[in-house]
Amino acid sequence: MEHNELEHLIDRELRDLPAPRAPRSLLPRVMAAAAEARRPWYARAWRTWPVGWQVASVVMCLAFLTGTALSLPVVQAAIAAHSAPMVSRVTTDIWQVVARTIDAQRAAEIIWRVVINPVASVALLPILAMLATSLAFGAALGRLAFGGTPQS
Amino acid sequence: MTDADLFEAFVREYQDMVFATAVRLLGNPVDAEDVSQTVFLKAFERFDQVGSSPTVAGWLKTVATNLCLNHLSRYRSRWRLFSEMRREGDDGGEPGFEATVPDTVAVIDAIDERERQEGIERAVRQLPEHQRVPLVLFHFEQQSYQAIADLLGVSLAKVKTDIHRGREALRSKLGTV
Repeated sequence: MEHNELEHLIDRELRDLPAPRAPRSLLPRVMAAAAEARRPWYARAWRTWPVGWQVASVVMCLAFLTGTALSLPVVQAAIAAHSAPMVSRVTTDIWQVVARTIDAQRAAEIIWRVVINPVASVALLPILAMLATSLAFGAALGRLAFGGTPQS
Repeated sequence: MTDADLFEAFVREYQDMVFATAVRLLGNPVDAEDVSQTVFLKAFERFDQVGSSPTVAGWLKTVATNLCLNHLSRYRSRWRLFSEMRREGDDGGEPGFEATVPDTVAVIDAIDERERQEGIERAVRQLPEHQRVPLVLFHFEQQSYQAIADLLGVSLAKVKTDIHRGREALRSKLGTV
């Protein structure tokens, strides 16, 4: 078949073809995209922003992150400087209370060991004897004075 | 009628035409739908001028064609690679598209006109890109050989060769219909 014949044959066949129909999803997609396009650029997805604003936003984010990273040690030092005296004062107070408690305990131990324990072991029997004598004297006096066992 | 209603009516009127151009050039309905959406968004951006223009159909076709060619140019290197592989295959190696077409002809032979047309449409879409794009531009978009060569950035001889090969492939399909 000659070139021209082939061209005419194919041309006729192709021109007779009905146009493919657009899928039903195309219209809703286009209308949704058009509604999106009506919104101001800053209210749309970041990837649809003007290139200049995309670059500017990236630079601002990087500047913020860099600033945060650089200022972190300074902030930490400032916090430490402000909190150190307070922590120190509280620690000192607590230590003083503990130390006094320990001192008082030691003093009590010394007093017990040096004063109370020797006296108690020596004076316990006389004290108990005096207590028993006092109770017996009181009972005898009560019988003589009131004529019987005392009424409770 | 609001602007949105006007634009919706506009899209309804031209969506088949735009999609047909895109799907024949790209050979892929999914990509064609994406490109069609972009075409209508461009129309939306200048709807005040485009909406009532008597040449709007031509404008839409031009935009659709350019967007499709841009889309295809992203795969240009792959396209060229396949084109060269196909040429090597024609020398007696693996059978190319042309060699496989007659296998489907027997099926199409017995079916009605509509199915026959669908078969041709499918055959056009299945042509390799380097044949399909110039063939579609020539037969559906009425572009000259030279205009196609300029659009694609290839030589006039290559355009003629690719279109001729595409026609031969389609003739194989039409031959027994």
